[in-house]
Amino acid sequence: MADQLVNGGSGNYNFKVVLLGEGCVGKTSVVLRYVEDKFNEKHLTTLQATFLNKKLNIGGKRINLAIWDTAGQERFHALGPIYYRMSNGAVLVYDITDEDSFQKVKNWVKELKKMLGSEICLSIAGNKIDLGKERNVPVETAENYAASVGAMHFHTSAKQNIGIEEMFLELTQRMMQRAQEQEIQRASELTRTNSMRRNIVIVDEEETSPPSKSCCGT
Amino acid sequence: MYATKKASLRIDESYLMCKSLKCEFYGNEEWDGYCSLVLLEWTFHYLQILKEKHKSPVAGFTKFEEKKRQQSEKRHKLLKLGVFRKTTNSRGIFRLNEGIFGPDTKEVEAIRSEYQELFGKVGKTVETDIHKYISSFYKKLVIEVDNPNSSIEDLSERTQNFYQILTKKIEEEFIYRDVSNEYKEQLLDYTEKHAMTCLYRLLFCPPTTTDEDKDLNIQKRIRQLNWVSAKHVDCQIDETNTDVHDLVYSSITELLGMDSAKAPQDKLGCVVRCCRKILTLMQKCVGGPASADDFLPALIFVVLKANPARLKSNINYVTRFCNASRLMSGEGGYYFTNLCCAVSFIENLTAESLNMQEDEFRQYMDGKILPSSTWDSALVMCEGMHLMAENAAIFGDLRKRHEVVMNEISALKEEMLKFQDEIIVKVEQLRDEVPLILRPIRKPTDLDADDPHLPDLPPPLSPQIVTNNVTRDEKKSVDIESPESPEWHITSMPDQTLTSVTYDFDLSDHSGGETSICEDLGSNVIVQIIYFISSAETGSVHSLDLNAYHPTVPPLNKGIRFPDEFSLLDTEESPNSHLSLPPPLKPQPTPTYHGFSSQGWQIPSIPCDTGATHLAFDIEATGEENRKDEKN
Repeated sequence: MADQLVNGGSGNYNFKVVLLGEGCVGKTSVVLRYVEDKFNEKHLTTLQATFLNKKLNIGGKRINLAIWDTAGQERFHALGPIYYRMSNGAVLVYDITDEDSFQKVKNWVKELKKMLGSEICLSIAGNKIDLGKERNVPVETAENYAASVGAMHFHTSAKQNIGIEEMFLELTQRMMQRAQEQEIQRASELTRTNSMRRNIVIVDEEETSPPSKSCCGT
Repeated sequence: MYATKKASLRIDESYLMCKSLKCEFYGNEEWDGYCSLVLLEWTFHYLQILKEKHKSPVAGFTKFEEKKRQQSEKRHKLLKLGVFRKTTNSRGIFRLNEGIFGPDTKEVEAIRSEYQELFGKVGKTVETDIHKYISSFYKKLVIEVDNPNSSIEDLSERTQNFYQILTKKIEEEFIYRDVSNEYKEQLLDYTEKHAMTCLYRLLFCPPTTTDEDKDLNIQKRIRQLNWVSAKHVDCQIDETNTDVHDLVYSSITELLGMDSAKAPQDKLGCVVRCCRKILTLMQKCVGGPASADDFLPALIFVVLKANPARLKSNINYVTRFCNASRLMSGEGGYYFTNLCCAVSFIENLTAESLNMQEDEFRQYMDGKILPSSTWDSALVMCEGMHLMAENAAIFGDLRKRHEVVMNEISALKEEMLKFQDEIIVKVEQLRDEVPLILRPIRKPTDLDADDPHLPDLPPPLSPQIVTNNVTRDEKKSVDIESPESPEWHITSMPDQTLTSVTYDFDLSDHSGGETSICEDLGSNVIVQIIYFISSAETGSVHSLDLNAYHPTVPPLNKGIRFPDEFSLLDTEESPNSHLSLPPPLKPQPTPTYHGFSSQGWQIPSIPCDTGATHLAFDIEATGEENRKDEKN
């Protein structure tokens, strides 16, 4: 099912990306900066920043990113799995001035890994680098951690528009790569799922074929 | 078509008989694996007879009721067969039942008409093909539902597989090559809608699941949590704002509408509409694009306040039977996921998740304490605020209108004053230009009084004088026009022209009559005589009028009429009327007024033609006189 979702046929991709992060880390600002290229402005065209689509064209392939914002409050933490089920990528945002938010990211990564394994592509964004003076999360710590979990780390600032475009682009490329790998894998292995699918197809074909047979019979 | 099918069935039957022995077409390992072939054959034979009995030649969307019956019968038979179910399906033996789409005729018809335009665009072949898929899927699912071994998850998987296969087919098959992607999407949508509307009664909240219990549990739970306010869930809904208040209500309405929709995507549509409204209201409350941090608590709040019917069943139904590729991506999927989150949150709600003490929470749950700031009390507050706002708006409007009216009034006042002045000026002008002259009332003249002109008038015999003059003037002309005697005229005749001959005839005709005299006279004379007569007559009429009507007609009318008649008499006819005065005195007697008639002769001097003022007296006088006469 997930395969179907990713590859809508003819080389177009639909990716679902979840945005995780604590309440005040600036998830919404990041995604609005990316989709609308605006920050904290009154004339934002969207009514909401909860679900946004971004269309990309990479290497001649059309990609649609569906970016899902999630509620970051602690009390909703348990709901995480419902959100990031079937997602292809996750952007984990923390506030560089807030050590707690980084700890939260760690929790989410752990959960994501547990739920989706390595299927999901992760990006960690240290947001608000315009407030570099108040940094509480050391750069090395964050980057090392990201590397340890197989995620990419980016320094971003929604306010000054730093690193956000790059982060999403890189994530998209990784997701594409992952999707292509999966396609190849699927094609190469004539596994149960494949044969099953063929079986079903045959069933339907058989249903359509009898008319000709009966005609021959008469 | 029908005949050939029938024939093919018979052949099938014969094949079935010999199938296990030699026929390759039906010879199948699966068949060998099962119970005895005789039973198998018999069952098929029986089924076909049944089918032929009920089969309608028109395969389509008509006669659903009949087909439903047929379907249920078939199902019962198949239940007996049990193990053969899958095989028979895949064999396509039930192909004859194409067009069985369940009992929901009206809804299906509605869906069909809704998509009529689409099918008009994609063509007939595509339409038939799609319906073929739908019917085969429907049949499969109906059979599957009755299988006690198949769980709802199996059905869900079958459905999802069907969606996937159909997507692939539409993507790849030849007849769909001209169909645009947009239409393909719509075709899938139609298929899902159609199939699921038909299968709704079987797949929604099926008895095999615990959906109903879950529904009741969540309903009870939400009812217990009715004390939860927006603040408890950290929701920034401004309960006192009337706009927000209205939006909350409309979003609740949308959410409640989910239960009445049948197709999964329609249910999803309700969720989407509900969530969009919530986002709009959150945008108002937050003052910018709402994020998920604002949205989820608001959704939880709305779910708590709406307490939708069969919430769990609906969610499960959509999860199981909505096209997964749609549900897992797109806006609808996102909102639906949020709804699932909200429900999950409500189910697992604890004191901690509301940021309150365990004791307090328990007391709330047990209904021991009621918070002051519940939705209800907020509602009451809102109601007041709402009313106030409304009234304020009305007053504002009234004030504006009042101002407008006042302005208009002052304008009108000015205009009126202006108008008044203008009129005064104009009137003055007119007065100066055309001064009013009051003419003195003319004194009525006395008709019956002694006329001073009477002696001056020539006597009525004056025409004789004229004839004398004529005779004196010219002999010839007199000969023609006015001979004094007929004899004389005749003697002069032969001298004259032809015209005189005709005249002579005329004369001879009337010679004996009195009129001959008149004719003998000159034309002037005749005219004069006629004039005299007529004047005498009119005079008499006038006198009659005056004498006859005056006593009866009320004095007022007389007063008005009198001068008119008088002026008539006065101006033109007075000289003649005076001459002819004597004759009017004769006809005066009328049958009704005895007194008048009798006195008519005697009182020519009575001033009946005097002014209006004297008339009343006259009448009285005459009345008295009449009485006197009667007495006499």
